[in-house]
Amino acid sequence: MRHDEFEQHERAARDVINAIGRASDDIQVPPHFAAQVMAEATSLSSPRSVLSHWRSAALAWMSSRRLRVAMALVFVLALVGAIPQYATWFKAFTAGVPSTTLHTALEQERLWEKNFTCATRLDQNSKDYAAITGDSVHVVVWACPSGDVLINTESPQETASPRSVWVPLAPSPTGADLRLPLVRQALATARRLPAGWRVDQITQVLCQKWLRDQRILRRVRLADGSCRDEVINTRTGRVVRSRPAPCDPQC
Amino acid sequence: MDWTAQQACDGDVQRALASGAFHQALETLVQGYQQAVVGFCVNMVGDVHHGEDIAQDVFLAVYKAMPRFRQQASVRTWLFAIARRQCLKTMRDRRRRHRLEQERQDTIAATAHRNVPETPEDDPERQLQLVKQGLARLGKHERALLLMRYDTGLLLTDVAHILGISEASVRRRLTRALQHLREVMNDAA
Repeated sequence: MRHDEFEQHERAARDVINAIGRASDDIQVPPHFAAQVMAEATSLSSPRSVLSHWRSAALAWMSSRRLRVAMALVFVLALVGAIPQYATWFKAFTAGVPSTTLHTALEQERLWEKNFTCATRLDQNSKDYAAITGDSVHVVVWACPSGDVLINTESPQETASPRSVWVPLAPSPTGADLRLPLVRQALATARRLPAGWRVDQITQVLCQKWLRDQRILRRVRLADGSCRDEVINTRTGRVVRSRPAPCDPQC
Repeated sequence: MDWTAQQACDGDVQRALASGAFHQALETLVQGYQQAVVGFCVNMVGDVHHGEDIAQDVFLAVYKAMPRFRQQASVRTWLFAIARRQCLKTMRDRRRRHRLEQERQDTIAATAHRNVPETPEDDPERQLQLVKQGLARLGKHERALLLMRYDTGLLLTDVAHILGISEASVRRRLTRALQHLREVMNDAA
């Protein structure tokens, strides 16, 4: 709206405007209003609170150009320095594993790819096969020519989901320490076949193939002669799906 | 308080603020603006006691905010920006507002009946009562706008600064608010 138009409107409403201008005329300020306000203000803490003091100090500090540049530099360095961490988070997110186990997950994936053919040959009649049947865990160990060892664990009470994890010959520092006792125990009993043999223990891998999202489908023969298909997440080693299947060597 | 006195008061307050004498700044501010702020708040909420309460809160809020006063606006603009915010904040309590509005309208209606003689339309007293009735029926934002501009006498630039809009928008809103007020007054008359 233009100024002259507005002035015109104001002229037309002059009587109303004058009346608004007198709207406060009959309102009396109470006699002790000022004294009350000042007393109330005195009871308050000083308006320069600790927070505002720090704020003004920070503002004064930031008013120096050199310091602003230094702050910006520190900020940029902090951001750049954290890039590897962002990359880890991103990779972990895309791999679907926690960022703390990303290294182990990628190592497991690499071992599955490296020993894929060997894992397909798992057979109880081979000298590379060993099994342990404990009260709380059943373990099938399969040693590959590369020296890497595939360990299949299963809980008889099904308190934990079955897992198939690799232990490399030259283990990476991360996570390897946890697995070593298990391997030692397994290899120590390699020739001690099977005292409390369970019917659902894996005796042979009939076939194996890659699925999407770095998963592997493998068909295994069990001790009772039946077969089942297992889908393994190669990053975590967990058997994510398991179901009975015909003992056909073609997956 | 006339324009020169206001300028002198604003100058004193600014000097006190610059030297960090907040208590003294508040004292000067209260002396200079208590009538305007109390009048504004009473007219905004329509109740003398609540208006005085809010006016007191306004000055205390100003006192607390003194270290942050950057002198980008005049003391007067800053004060009424806080006053407007404080009034609107109080009125946002819908239940309370509803009660206040009811009391306000009752009071005004009673006063109007008691005080207004049967006089011609251009009688200033009657006009004032009709305006007060009209203001009470307007929306709180339009009421604040009209009071800031025509009762407290803020400049268009000051109102624009308070509302964070352009001067042209202030002119548009004022024109609309005046029209609404006129319509409401005609209905009441």
